[in-house]
This record gives sequence, C-alpha cells and structure tokens, in this order.
Amino acid sequence: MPAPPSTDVSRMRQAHKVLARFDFEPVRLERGYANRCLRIDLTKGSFEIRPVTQQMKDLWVGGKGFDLWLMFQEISKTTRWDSPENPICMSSGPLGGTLSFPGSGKTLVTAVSPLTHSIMDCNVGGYFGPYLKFAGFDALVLTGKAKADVIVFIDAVERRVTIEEAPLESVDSHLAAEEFTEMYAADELDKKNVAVVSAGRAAEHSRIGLLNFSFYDWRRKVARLKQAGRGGIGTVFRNKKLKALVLRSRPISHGWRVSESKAAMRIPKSDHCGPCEEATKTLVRDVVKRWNKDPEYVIEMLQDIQERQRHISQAAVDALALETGVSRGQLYHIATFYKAFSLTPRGEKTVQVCVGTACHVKGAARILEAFERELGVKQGETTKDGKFTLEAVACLGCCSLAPVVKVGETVHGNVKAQDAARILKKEAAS
Amino acid sequence: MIATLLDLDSISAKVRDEQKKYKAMLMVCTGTGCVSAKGFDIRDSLKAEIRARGLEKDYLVVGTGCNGFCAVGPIVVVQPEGVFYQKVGAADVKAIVQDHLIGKKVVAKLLYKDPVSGKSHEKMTDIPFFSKQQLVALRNKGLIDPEDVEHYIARGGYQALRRLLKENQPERIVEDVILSGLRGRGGGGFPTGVKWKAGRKAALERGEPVYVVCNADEGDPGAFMDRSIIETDPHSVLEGMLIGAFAVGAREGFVYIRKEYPLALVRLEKALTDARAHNLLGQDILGTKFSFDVKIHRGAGAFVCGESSALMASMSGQAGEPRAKYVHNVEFGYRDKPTILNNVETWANLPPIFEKGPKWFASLGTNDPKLAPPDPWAGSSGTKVFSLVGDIRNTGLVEVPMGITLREIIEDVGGGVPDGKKFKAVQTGGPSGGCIPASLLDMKVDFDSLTEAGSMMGSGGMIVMDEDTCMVDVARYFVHFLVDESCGKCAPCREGLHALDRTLTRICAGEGKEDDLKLLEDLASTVNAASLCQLGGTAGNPVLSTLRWFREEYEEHIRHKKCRAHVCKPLLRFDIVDACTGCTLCAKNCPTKAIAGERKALHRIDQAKCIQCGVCADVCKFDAVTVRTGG
Repeated sequence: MPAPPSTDVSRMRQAHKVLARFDFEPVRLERGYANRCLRIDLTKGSFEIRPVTQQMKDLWVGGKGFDLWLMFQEISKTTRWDSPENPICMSSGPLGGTLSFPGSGKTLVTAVSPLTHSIMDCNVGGYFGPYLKFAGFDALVLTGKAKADVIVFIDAVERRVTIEEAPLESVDSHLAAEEFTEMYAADELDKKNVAVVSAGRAAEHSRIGLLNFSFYDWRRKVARLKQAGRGGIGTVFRNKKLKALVLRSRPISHGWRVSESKAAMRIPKSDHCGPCEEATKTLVRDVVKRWNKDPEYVIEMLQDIQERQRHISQAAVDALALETGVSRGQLYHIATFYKAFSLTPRGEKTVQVCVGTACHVKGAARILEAFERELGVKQGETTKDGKFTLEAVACLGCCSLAPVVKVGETVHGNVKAQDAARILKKEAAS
Repeated sequence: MIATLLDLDSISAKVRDEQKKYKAMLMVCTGTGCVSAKGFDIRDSLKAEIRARGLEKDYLVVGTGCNGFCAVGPIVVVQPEGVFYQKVGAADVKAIVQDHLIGKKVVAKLLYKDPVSGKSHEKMTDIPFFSKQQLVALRNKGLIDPEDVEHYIARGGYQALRRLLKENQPERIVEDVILSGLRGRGGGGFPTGVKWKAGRKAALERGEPVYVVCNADEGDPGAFMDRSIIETDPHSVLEGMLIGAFAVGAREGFVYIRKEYPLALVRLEKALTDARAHNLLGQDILGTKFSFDVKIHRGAGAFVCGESSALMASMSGQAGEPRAKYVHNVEFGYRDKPTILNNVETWANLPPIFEKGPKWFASLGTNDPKLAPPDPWAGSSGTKVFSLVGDIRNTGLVEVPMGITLREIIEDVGGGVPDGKKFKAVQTGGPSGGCIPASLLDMKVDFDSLTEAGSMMGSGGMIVMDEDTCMVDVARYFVHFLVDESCGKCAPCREGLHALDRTLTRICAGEGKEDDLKLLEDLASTVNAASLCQLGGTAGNPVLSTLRWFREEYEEHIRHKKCRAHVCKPLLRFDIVDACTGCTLCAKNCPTKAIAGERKALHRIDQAKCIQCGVCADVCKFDAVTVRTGG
C-alpha cells in the first residue's frame, strides 16, 4: 500500500482545528509503572491526570485489571454501549513494553460491548500500549462523545495532548494508519514511533466493529494493523465520533530494556554518542550503495564497515538493517558467526599469530603465549591503549616462513618466542 | 576487444613477437610466500636497476605468481635459459644485473645448492624439487604475468574455450569431462563430469537457470593451493568456469574467495576486468551467442564455508550453516537453483583437458587403462597440487601425478626432513584428515588409498611432522581447531568435539585415565557417523588416525606421564645442569623470573615459578638446560 503523496497529507493537516489542548510533564518510569493515568472527556474537551494507587497495583495488577478498575469508576448500572459515559480503557501491564517476555507488547482494551451489553475485554498487538507507557501513562480512559469527527493526538515528543477536528483524513483504517503515520513522523526512520488506533467505516454500520492498532513495518515500508477484535469496541469508538487516536512516541532509548540480547550487551555504551552515530549512518549508506542495496552482499557490507570502523557498532547494525531490510537479529547472527567481525573496537594494529598446522608443528603455541605475555592480553583481546589486538589465526599462507606472525601488513617469518618483545617494540614505534 | 573467434591468434602472435625482442626475461616470484619475504621490493629494484643502466629494451622484469619453491624465496628465474636464483636479497639485485645480464656469468652464490650432495644446480629443471613434478593446473606458473590476460593467451589460453564454442556441443563437453576421469580437487573427489551432468539435467527439466560457482574458500591451515593458483594463473580458472558454464548452460557464475587472500582477490578482480574488456566475459562471448559473467563473493573467515551448502548460505548473505545432504546442491543450490560448485584446482584443470584431450588426462594417474570409458569413481586421473609444509626442507607448492608414492613426494620432491631429525608422520586432508605413519610411506597417493589409510585427500595440504611432534598434541590441536570452527548447528559435531577436546586436553595435561582411549574412539566414531555435514562427518579422523597409528604415544601420556616429543608442557620439567657457565642469558630471558643465579655460577630454576615455556633452553648456548619427561 503506497503512502499517499505528502502534499495531500499536509493539506489534511492544515484542515485540522485544535479544539482542546493539554500539556503534561514527563515522569520517570519506576518498576514498570508511570504511576498515573490519562482521562480524556470528549464531550467537555477536558483532560485529567489521575494517580495509580498502590491498591490498584496490589489488587488490579495487569492491563486487564487496570482497565476493569477504571471502568468501575466510570459506569453505572444504566450505562449502555452507546452512552456517552461508556469509557474505552486501554492499558498494558507493568511488563508492557519490555523486550523480555512474549506478549509484553500487548494492549488490553475494555468497554461496554454493543454485542453483549456487558463489559468486554480484548487484547491487541501493535505499538500503542508500550508507547503510551513510555509517554508516561499506565492507562488511558476515553469517555464522552464528540460533536463531529475528531482525532485525539498524544504527542510524547512535545508532551501535549490535543483533540482536533480532522475532516479530510480517511476513516478506513488501512488508509488512516498510512496517512497519520506519514503526517506525524519526522522522517522515514521516525515512522516506527507513530502508533495509530482507528476503527473504519464498517464500525459505523454494525455492532462488531473492531479497533485497528497500527505499527510501522520498516522492512515492508507500510503501516501494518493489529486488531482488538472482540465485542465490537470499534463500534463504540466510532460512536464517540473518534476518527483516530494517534500517539507519537519519542525514539526509544536503549536503557529501557530489561535485559539486552547477549550480542548487544557486548557493545560498549560509548557507541551511543550522537555525532559518531551520524558518521556511522553516512558510512553505512555509502557502503550499502556500493553494493547496490543487494541483501545478498550484507557480509561484504559488514566487511567494509569493519574495515573502516574497526568494529561493527550497534549504530551500524541499526543503520544497515534499515538500509537493506535485513533484520538486526540476522545481522548480529552474521557478525558473531564470522571471524572477520568484531563487536568491540579492534586495536590500531592487529597482531596475527599464525597457529596453522605448519606453524603449530614449528612451535606456534609458544609464540602465541609469548605475545600474550608481552601484550598482557589473551588472544582475541585488545590492549588497553587500543594499539594492538592479538589474534590467533589458522593460516597466513606463507608456511615456508613458519612460524609466522603478521603485524598490520608486515609479515615476520621464522619467529622465536623471545622475539615477541622486539617485534612489538618496533611495530609500536612505526 | 576480441570481436571474433580468430582474434585470439593475433594477440598471441603479438605478445610472442614482443617477448622475442627481449634478450631475456627475469621472472620474479610475487606469490604470497615470496611477497612476505619482500618479493615486490626485489621486482621493483630489479626494474629500477635495469632502467638505470638503460637496458630496459633488452630485459623485461615480470612479476609472476607462486613459483612453488617457497622455501628458498624470493626467487628470480632468468628465462629463456631457466637459471634459478634463490633467496635473492636487495643487495643481490646489482649482482644479477651486472654479472648475469651484462657479464653473461651466472651468479654462483645465488644458485640452489643441494643440501645433501652439496652440488649447485644452475637450471631450474635440474633441481630435484622440480624434476619429479608434472604441471597441469600449474602449467603457467612462473611463466606469465598473472595480471596480464595477453600473457595467458600467448601461452595458448582460451584456445580450448574457442574450439568448444565453435563446435557448440555442450553435451559432448560433459561426456568428455566424465571420460577424462577428473574428480573434484576440493576434497570429496566427486567425479566432476557426473556432477555437471546432474546439474544440466536438473536445469533442463525444471527450466530454471543454473549457476556455476568456484570454491576458493580455502580454510585448511597449511594449505594454499587454491590461493596460489589464483595468484599465479587466474585466467586458467576463469576459462575452466567458462567451459563449465557453456557445458551446463549457465549465464552467471560466482567465485567465493576468502577476504584474507588480498593478493589473490586483486588478481582475480583484474582478471575479470580484463576478460570483460576482451569479450571473454559478458554478452556474446567471442562473437558467439554464449553470454556469461562472473561475480565475486568475499568470505569472512569461517572454515565451515568451504562446505558446499554452507558456502551457498554465505553467498546468499547469511551465516554459513550447512544443511542436510539429501538435498543436492547440484539440484537445489544457490537461490534454490541447480548449482555446479567446483574447487579452484578443478576449474584450472579443465582448459588443459580440452587442449590435450580427455584421454591424455585419463592416462595420467591411477586409472585402470583397460576400462574404457573409465569408471568415474575408480582410480584418480591427472595430477594433484599439494602444499608441502611443516618439518620438511623444500616447503612449497608441488604438482605431482596421482599414484606417486608418499615417499617420492616427501624425500625426492620435498628433500626429506631437515636438521637430522627423524620423520614421524605426514598429515593430509586438512583438520579433518588424518596422520599417516612412516610405515605407510610407500603408499600410492590417490583419493582411494588415502581414505583407506584413515586419512583423505582433502584439498591437498600435506604437513610433514618430525620426531619433535607429539601426536596426542596434534590430535588435540586439530580437534581444538574444529571446536572453534564448528558452526554449532548439529549436536554430534558441536558437543562431540567439545567432549573430545576436553578428554585430549586432559591427557596432554597428564591427567589421562586408562579408559580414555576407549572413550575417544567411541566419541570420534559417533561424531563421524552422526554429524550433518562433511566437516563434522570427518572431524573424528585426526583422533581415530592417531589412535590407530600412534596408540603407544597416547599410552605413554596416560600411564607414564611422558611426552616423548617434549611438547605437552605439564609433563615436562626443565633443569639446569653443570654445563651452565653462569652467563645469565636464561635468567634475562625468563618471562617469570624463575631462574636465579650469580654471574659465572650455576643457575637454578625455581620449579614453582616455571611455566615450562622453554625460552631458557632456546637461548642457552651451552646446552645446559635439560628437559625431562615421564616421572
């Protein structure tokens, strides 16, 4: 599904009229909670921040629990599905948005159902729930009814919530998701930070309307949809004259993860500085271009990056994933599978002690030990001053000179254990 | 640009005429071995010297690929007379120009001297290292500039391709390859023609494209045949691929080459560029309807990528993990299309097969001459290139006919074991090959005999080991190498090798148990039987073959805590004896300061601090450091 031309999107945005506006303060997440909920009343155009109490956490733990608790605050025994006070509640539990557990990206949604006339819950994927938490809200309550079609825009970047009249955008989810993603993302990379909730025209005419939660699939370059399907909550959504609920998230920091993957943990934190990330992105773009964006050549691309930066940084993997469409997991798999790559920076010069068979029978093990002693590092490690990386390699192909040590581009042949210090001194000076 | 089939001849004639104008050509070896010993510097200073004397019209300096005799590099050969100069240093350049080129006198001190007879040999062909060799794949070594396609054409290059294109009978080419008895030089020894036939058939039946791939991911330590062939004669490989592509109907080919081979990579890229410029690659090759091009994929250092299915995974930009063998690459290979994968040496053998005929090729080697056409699986045709390294005088690259005995290779070509040491074993077939003891030296070298002896041909690494080599340590070394290189996909290889490594390390540390040998045998044969790919399927070989031929060394390690080769450090004890003159050299060099003693007084080693590194024994000029082992 190609995104509509951007001029259309800017025209649509110009037609917006802000009906109500609310600024909020950031909070630090603590043990999985932001400790506050956001309540939006569409009839009054009002906003309210409510605390999450310890009692809620103890007795109503989880997304479904919070939603139900909040429902009980809003409804009475006369509340029907189309009553203005019927709230749509959305929440993800304390694990929401962590990368450590399956299902922790889910959002739980509740409302009084037009199908069963009772409280209905359903769960949905997409990015909305986690982004809501990152924006600083454990749950969202949408209540009231708007006069004309509106959108609710939660902007976690500007820390502002608005209710806006939005007459030109599509109602149908597959179009709306594309339009709002395009509208609110700063650039292609930012699109994954936009989550759109919408219901579609069918929800206006039936009681089984569902909610579509979008997430931007950067590999296919489309906003894809996940459904909160049970009980017709989409019908409630449209009944409130909501066209869309849009959330723009700040780019997620790495600090949020409960635990990193093993490969990622080996990357030094210094990698995350802004300017060098920019340089990395430029380098990666150049490299990818040189290999015609062909994913079959990612190994060659990684080789070029390794050569230029002496390691494969997390920024490089991220950028390469974006440029080639090869997943980060796959790239880490490659970068840790092949010996040519290192996730930590290698030294200015690499000391390659050949331990190939020919060198082995001529005493390479002792030579390697001598270099380990002299450099104070084990094979595969880099000296503290960043000058040398010591490597044991299988064969340098000049077996006639065995045992062989290659420092940088210089080959030293017929090396003896006691030569290590002399060779290193000479190489450090040159 | 060669527009028609005939232009090859005019290029060939032109180059030969040009070369005739020179009084002599100086062929300077610039293979990796000689380059490591400053071969490029020698080439450049020879050129400079000749230019300085205004002789550049009479003498041409050519940088060639590997000459093969790496032990005595850098090498300069003066052609056409064939005078062979060895170990040429920067200081010798003047002497070659002054004495040989101007004075017409051979520079005696640079000649090869037979270490046994002490006789000097003037001509290359007189040196025993060269005289027993028979060159097919390496036919152009030392005779052409690998970076000049016209040199290759002048030596008859691309003539075979031209004839085959003209005849336009691709099926016949496949039949001829079968007839030649050529078997894959990469290790498995699968009949090349049979493979081609299957690939051609699969492509025709499914109506899909077919690819040809050259495997230049030479990962075996101590083996550098493939690299040398590409560095020496890249067009020979390319012509082979072209013939193969034409025979099976491929339009695209790939070379998968290790990035660790920078020189080979440069020469290969140059060869591709030149071939395209000469209409030998690309659209309508040599004016025919045949179109074919070759791309390069660079490997990133994984031994397992030499395995065919892992190689194709790597070519597709994935981690090089093999898959089960019941899916044949020849039917579902690269991009799930029929793929013909052959090793560098196999491809380089093809042009001569079609220059001289498949029957000529079949007559070399160990084929049964009574069988016509020969059974592709019986016997071994042609020659094989070996890299002869380790404890041997003439290390280097040799090409010998199949069926030659190990003794001829090691003693005649290789010059035997140096320094008066005794020969112990020769290891063939790379890390998953096996060790062959002295008692089998008269064995014929071909695919089947080597397998019978518990080793394998492999890609052609031949590592000679003298009595200072501990066979338990060798087994541990190879297993350790394979532990590192196992891709980890299947359990027998991943876990079995670890278990082998642990047990062997224990034995080498003097903590072996009596029933360890049974355990090793069980583990190694299970690894061989149950692994997914051939890397694991042969990974037990180093253990099994050393157990088979050198069992007593294992027993000594376990029962007597003795390492007769003085390799396994925990089993050694260093002492200083009365011969010590108190020169303090050992104390100065000891990395752990374990040696104490006054100047001019007997030194002592503090056994608690000693790490058995052996530096003291190396530096001692009076043989005062002794090594004891065995309790």
